[in-house]
Amino acid sequence: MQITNVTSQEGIAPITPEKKGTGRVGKTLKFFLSNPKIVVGVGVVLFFVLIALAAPLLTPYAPDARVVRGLQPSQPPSPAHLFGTTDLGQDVFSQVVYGARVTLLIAFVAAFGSTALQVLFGLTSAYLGGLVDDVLSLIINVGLVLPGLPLTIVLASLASAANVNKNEIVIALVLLFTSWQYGARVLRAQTLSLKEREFVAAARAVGESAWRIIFVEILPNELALVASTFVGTFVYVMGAEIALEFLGLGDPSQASWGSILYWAQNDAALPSGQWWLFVPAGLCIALFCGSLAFINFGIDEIANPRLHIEKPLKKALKSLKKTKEAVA
Amino acid sequence: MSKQQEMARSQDLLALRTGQPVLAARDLRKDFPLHPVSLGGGKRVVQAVENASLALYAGQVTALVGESGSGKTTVARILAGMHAPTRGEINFEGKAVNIKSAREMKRYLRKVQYIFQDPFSSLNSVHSVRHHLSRPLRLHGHAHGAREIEEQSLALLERVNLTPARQFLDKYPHQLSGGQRQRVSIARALAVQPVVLLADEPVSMLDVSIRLDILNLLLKLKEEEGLAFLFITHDIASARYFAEETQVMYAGQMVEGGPSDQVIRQPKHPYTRLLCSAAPDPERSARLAELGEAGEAPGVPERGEPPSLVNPPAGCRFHPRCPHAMEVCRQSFPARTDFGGGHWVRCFLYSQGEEASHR
Amino acid sequence: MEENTRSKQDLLLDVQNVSVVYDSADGEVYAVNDVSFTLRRGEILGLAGESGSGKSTLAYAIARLLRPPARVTGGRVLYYPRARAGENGNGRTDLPASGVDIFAFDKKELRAFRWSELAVVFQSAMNALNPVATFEAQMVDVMRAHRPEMSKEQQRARLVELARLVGIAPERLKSYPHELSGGMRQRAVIAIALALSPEIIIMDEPTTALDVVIQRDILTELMRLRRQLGFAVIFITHDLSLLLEVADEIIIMYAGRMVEKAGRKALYRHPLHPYTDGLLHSFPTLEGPLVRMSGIPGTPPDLREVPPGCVFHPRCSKAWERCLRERPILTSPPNVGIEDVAERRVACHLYGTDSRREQEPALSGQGGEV
Repeated sequence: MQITNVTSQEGIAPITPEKKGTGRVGKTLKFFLSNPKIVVGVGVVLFFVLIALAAPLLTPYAPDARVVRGLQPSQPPSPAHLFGTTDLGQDVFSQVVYGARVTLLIAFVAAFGSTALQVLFGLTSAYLGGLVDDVLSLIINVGLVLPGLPLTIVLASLASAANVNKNEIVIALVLLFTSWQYGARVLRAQTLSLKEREFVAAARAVGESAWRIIFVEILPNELALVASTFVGTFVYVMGAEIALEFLGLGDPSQASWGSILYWAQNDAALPSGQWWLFVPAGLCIALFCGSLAFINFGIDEIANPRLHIEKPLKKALKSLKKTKEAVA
Repeated sequence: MSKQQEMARSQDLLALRTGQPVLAARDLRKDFPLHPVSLGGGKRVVQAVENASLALYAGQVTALVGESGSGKTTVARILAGMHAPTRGEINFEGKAVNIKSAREMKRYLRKVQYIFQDPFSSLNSVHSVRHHLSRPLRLHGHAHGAREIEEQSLALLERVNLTPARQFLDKYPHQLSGGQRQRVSIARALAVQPVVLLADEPVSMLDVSIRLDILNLLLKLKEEEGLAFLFITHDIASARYFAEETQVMYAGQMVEGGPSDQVIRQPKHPYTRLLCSAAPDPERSARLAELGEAGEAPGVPERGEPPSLVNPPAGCRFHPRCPHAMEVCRQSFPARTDFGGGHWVRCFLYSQGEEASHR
Repeated sequence: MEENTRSKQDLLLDVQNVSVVYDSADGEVYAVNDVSFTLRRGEILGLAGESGSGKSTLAYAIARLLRPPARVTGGRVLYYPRARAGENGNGRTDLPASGVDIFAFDKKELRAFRWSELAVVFQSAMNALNPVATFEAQMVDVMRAHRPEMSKEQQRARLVELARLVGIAPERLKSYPHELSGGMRQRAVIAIALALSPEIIIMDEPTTALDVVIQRDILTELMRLRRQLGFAVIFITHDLSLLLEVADEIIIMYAGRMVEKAGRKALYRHPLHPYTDGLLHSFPTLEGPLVRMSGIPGTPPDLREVPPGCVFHPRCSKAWERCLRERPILTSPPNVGIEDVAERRVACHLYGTDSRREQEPALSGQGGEV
């Protein structure tokens, strides 16, 4: 009995069965969350974000309220004051928790804004080429040549000298405008290589406009790089912001992680052994930036499969599962 | 359609052709500038294409055969509007083509579409098949609204034999095989509803056993829809299979052309002869094996390699490798010699005393 | 090389039941499944197959070039070296005369084995050559790594000899890869492969990236060198028509398994396996009548979801219900007037010990379809 299969065309649907959740978004999300480094990093970041948002719920004191009076306003940590109090009798825990709001807000705004500029300028200059590329590259290169932190310090001190209100926004803007050049350069390089790919020529042949090609065809292919430079920008911006505040160029009257350190410095916390004045804030900074670095490592691992290290535990679990299924 | 169907091939191309060509190019020349390596040096150019002329007719395939560096892809890309010719003219349906604005380009692209060689890189891996098909439908106003777009996308997939169409619509390129991706590329080109398809080595990167499927699909499209095809290939045997007319290019110059069977079975130009003898042919080698010689095919002994096009040889560019090269070959590029039935060659072996220069 | 003496003394490589697995997210994928064959001295063995056939993986496994996630899960490869004391001045007396399992080599043995006994020519010469080193430097590098006892003059002499052997002018020795044309680069890679006079050269699609004319050149060169130096070649390609011109013996692979093995002429005249028959009909011809041809319907299978029974059955025009449940084993076909039947192997139920066989004549190989 012969079965003729000749009628089957090459075009028949592939044999691979559909797995659940193969939608692009769902798949990418699952993919990212399968990497432990990313999970840990994102978890820590979310933790701090939640703390910042829930600040009023976590502490009854305002950050600048003097809650301890008397001869020794500066107290080490105690059940009443988890992180102790400052020389002015302010609760350090409240400062840290409320300070998170300021620090994170500035950092987020600067990082997002900077990334937006990176994407816009990097991709456009690479794709359009010619005069546009020359001009934008000039701007980028000038920005790169000028030393970042000193420039930021100068701008910030000008702003504070001019007594501009809303100092946080000023800091965020200053950081934004001095940090986008590097990422733009990186994205430009990547786009230059992608633009030679055939699917870009094919999109042009079909009649797509330049803007659609840049943002709908090319950009999605660079998301890993954009994510990675975003995280890198975030770390840089965070560090630069803390540095500015530490130097007193932020708003010295408002609690933020950097200004906590500034006050600690002014109060000679280190020589006098008042460790609780700077250790909590310092630890928070370190943890936060560390988790950002973790996220970056995770993205690197995903983007470069050769960094995958086969975990013996995972393999053992898999073979265990197999024997269980075989027995069942 | 039985498998034994002998493909009707008129040996007289002139009789086949009624009316004017859909797309015609005359005396195309393309120079690519080279970035000067040394300061003060003059601008160097790669003379990629010289004196190229061809014509595409509705419902017929013209093959352009040559090695890499012969300029065949450049010619196709000029016809597709990706490069502007340095000299020469292009006519579409009789009217001269002169694209100066994005809108004119879009109008031209609506009629002339290009199929890429590499099915793995000509589709954007982050977009689904649906996206790839809906964009041209939308851009050229063939469908409006989600439902029309979906209907037409499904119809396109069925035209290229990707069935069941519904299952393919939401797949991503990495979920498809090479042959399936190439079909999607063809469907995308068809979505524009063109009259000319420029296929640049559409099957070279596919597995051998599915190449014929794709070529047969293109044949079906040609016959059922009267499309005009340009078929770029380095495989002269597939040119014979697929195209009515074959033109041979060498180092940017067109050296021979005519009905495919005639050009391939009775090649006149020494280069065409070289190509035909170099192509693997199990039939021929089996015959030779019986005669006691194995593994080597007769042919032009002096093989060599194509010249650099930055400083191409003067006159006929094949003369450094040609066993029949004469003094005149170094001086000028030969004029056409016609053999009747549309078969022509540019070679001084056949045009005694004629010295036309087309420079 | 038409008469291959079948004696055991001529045996060079004995591949026995080799399997290679890729560890993927979906589990183990068998890229090569239980493949066995022999290679004789001076023989050109062609490994033909399409994507997913496992031909490259198999060759790399033999050369021990596989890296995770690929791993060899079974089989052995016995190598029978020639006692070569005094030959070419490269005395290799440390390898025993009886077969040694390449898979069992330790690092030292592997290093001694590599390049002096087995060399590899990769697909894209541009990728195999170091772009920032001259051709000469790369050759010297190889010699220095494997023959440290050679003096500079000896190296130089060998260099010039090899370049002349493959047809590269001595002036081009100091060129960088990008200064050489495609064909010259491929010759350069072949020259490097020949540097230590190996017994076996594995060539992985050596001419795929080249034009037909250069390809013909390289193949002619290869045949000449083989006649002169007597090495064996494992030639991997998807272009069966090439193998039909140069190979002594051809193995057809599909989805990681061998489906047919035959001599060149015999395969062309009487392909047994329907896949081989289909492949032969997938090449448009330069001569002969123009008929509408079709390739093989369907696509090569996804190795993660291999169909049951015969892996080719979904695409086979001759499949019947036995093919869906039982996997055919590679055996000698019965003698029904087929050429070279003693040396042939095929894995197909049409040629099994089934009564089906009597009803089916041998398929003819030419353009006309039965």
